[in-house]
Amino acid sequence: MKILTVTLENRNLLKDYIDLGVNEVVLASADNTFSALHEFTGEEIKEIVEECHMHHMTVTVLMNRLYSEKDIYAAQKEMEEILHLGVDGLMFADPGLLKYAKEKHLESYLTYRPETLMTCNEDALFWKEQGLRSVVIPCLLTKDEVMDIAKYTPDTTVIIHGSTLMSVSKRKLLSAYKEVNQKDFDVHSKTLSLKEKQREAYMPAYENAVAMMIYTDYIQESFDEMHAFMDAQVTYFEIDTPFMSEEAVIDAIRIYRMLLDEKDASREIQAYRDKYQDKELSDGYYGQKTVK
Amino acid sequence: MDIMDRRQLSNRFHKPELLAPAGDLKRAKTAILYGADAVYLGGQFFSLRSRASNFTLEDIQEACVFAKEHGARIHVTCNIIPHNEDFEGLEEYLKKLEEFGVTAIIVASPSIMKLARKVAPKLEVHCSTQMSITNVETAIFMHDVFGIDRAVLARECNMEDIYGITEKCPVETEAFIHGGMCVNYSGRCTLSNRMTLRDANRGGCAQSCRWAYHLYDGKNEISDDALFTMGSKDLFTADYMYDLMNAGVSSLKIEGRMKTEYYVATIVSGYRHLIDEIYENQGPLSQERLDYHKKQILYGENREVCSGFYAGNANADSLIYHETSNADVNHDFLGTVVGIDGTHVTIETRNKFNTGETLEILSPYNTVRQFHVDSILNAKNEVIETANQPMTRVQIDIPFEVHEKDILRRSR
Repeated sequence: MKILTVTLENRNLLKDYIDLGVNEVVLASADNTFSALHEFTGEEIKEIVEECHMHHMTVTVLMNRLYSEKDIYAAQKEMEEILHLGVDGLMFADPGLLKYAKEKHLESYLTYRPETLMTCNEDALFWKEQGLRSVVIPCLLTKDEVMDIAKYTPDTTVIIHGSTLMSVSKRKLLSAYKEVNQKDFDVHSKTLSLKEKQREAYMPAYENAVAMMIYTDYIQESFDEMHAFMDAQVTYFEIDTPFMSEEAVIDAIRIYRMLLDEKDASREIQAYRDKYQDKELSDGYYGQKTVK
Repeated sequence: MDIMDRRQLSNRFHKPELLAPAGDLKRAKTAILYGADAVYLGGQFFSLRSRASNFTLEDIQEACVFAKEHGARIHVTCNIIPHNEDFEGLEEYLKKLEEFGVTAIIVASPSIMKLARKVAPKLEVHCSTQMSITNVETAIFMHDVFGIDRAVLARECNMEDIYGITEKCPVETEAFIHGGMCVNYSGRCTLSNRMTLRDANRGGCAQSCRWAYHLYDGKNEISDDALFTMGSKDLFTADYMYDLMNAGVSSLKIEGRMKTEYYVATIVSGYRHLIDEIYENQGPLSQERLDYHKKQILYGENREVCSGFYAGNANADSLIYHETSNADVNHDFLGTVVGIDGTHVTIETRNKFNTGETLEILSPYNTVRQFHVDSILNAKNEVIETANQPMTRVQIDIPFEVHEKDILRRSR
């Protein structure tokens, strides 16, 4: 089974997703995400679930943040309520949610998405063996490492395309800077970016109600790796859309759909790379291993 | 229940473990002599802080022997987030640690926890702060699944969280009390990976969060007059020590395996006396006594400090927006006692001091004591006004008992 998963930020794009053959959409739940995605209310999630199910498309909800002692119990209840909306999956980062899900026998809906903490076969398999739906392989690994984990662990998710999360702070760093320096800008704007003093790369920076996040200066793409990942039995192929234009999202979906259907997409891939050459498309860490 | 309601003496009020960092064997011994109940250190593999000196197996064995002789314990960090190739030699390493008498390993990876349980069952498993335990539900999960013996709490916990977690936690808890802080959730930051290709979760963190950044909105620079930075001030929790003890936190951890011997001695000694006095008092200290201890601790601190998340959300005043260093701290460490003949004391010098100054002796065996420098003799027994050559020996008179390795410092 090969499932094309795409985050959804604008409900108006849903029809395009359906027409283009997206299998699953990922929605961010309000105040529950370490992500720059648009956040949906429970009522909106319910409506989107109904629409998706009518078209045989599944829905996963992101609750991929860490919760304080004060917040975890409400989050556990909210997770249960969201699952009762009919969603098909839920992505989490806080094992406190998994503990509750296991008590309620809901763990088979859950996907572990810790971003950075699961970088070897045994760790990935451990989490999957908790009865989870899937585990997300981090975007920090070489192509071979991704394939090793995918072969070793069933039903893995790989984020194949998009600007990927680099850091998360509980501190409201943009708000703090704004306050100290008496600046006037919107900390929740998705047009903010950071450029290290010695470098030329612009890294999107974003603050929501629960965290401040920094994303990669490049858009990860996996066009050339798709066949290998499919051979390695990756199940969920996810396109993350923060900081991408809607046009770029649609163009990417079209190509990955072709690749998953084992069609020749070489012309479309070249056209995409030409069209978005100013967006710093990159294969990330696939070809370069970090050092200790 | 808020914190004030909880500030009546709890039935969990006890003297917690003071856990100190050590970058090498010398600093491990110093930490123990100055009052640490336990020391944590990293081996040459499987540990974050790859740029700390780190311990050979022989060093770890010697540290265990020294700790045992002094009633202390050794914890070893095995807190990398491993890639597949990082397991080579791990099993043998864990067995060695157990054989040497290491008390605990600090771990962030489920597979390392499982392996340790299997091959070295006498080692306690402490779940690293890299796992970001911010609520008791996570701690219970880690206990149920791995049988962890201790949960190291995330630095993002506030006092309310800590009271709540310790109340229900089935295992010991450990909280940070002093030192450097990741501005991002520990373990969930790859700024270093991206900018230097050094893997932060395998010991290579380049601390890119402390670099300077331009901030843009679209193409317009916002930071034209003040660059954006994310560097956090260091954690300093003397004001929260009573609450941490009253909450029943089992272990209080000082950060800083790359810090100097002087730092280790000063910070450990400062917190040792603070904890002991709160325990003897069985309650909060007077402001005057608290201020005294705060001053003693801050002798060793060379960065700006803040209370982190203990007071609530760490906001603008917990961040460093300017280039700064408290260079005075480095000038305070004047030398070490290397010889004693009655009141004539030989000092191996580190920084300049003068006849006529009032100086202090920091000792593991006593409270801080001051004295006046009446004269200084150099190695040729000549009277000199100023000791200004580092790493040379001079003799001064000190009118009270001192011990070898006691620290001579400037009085502030």
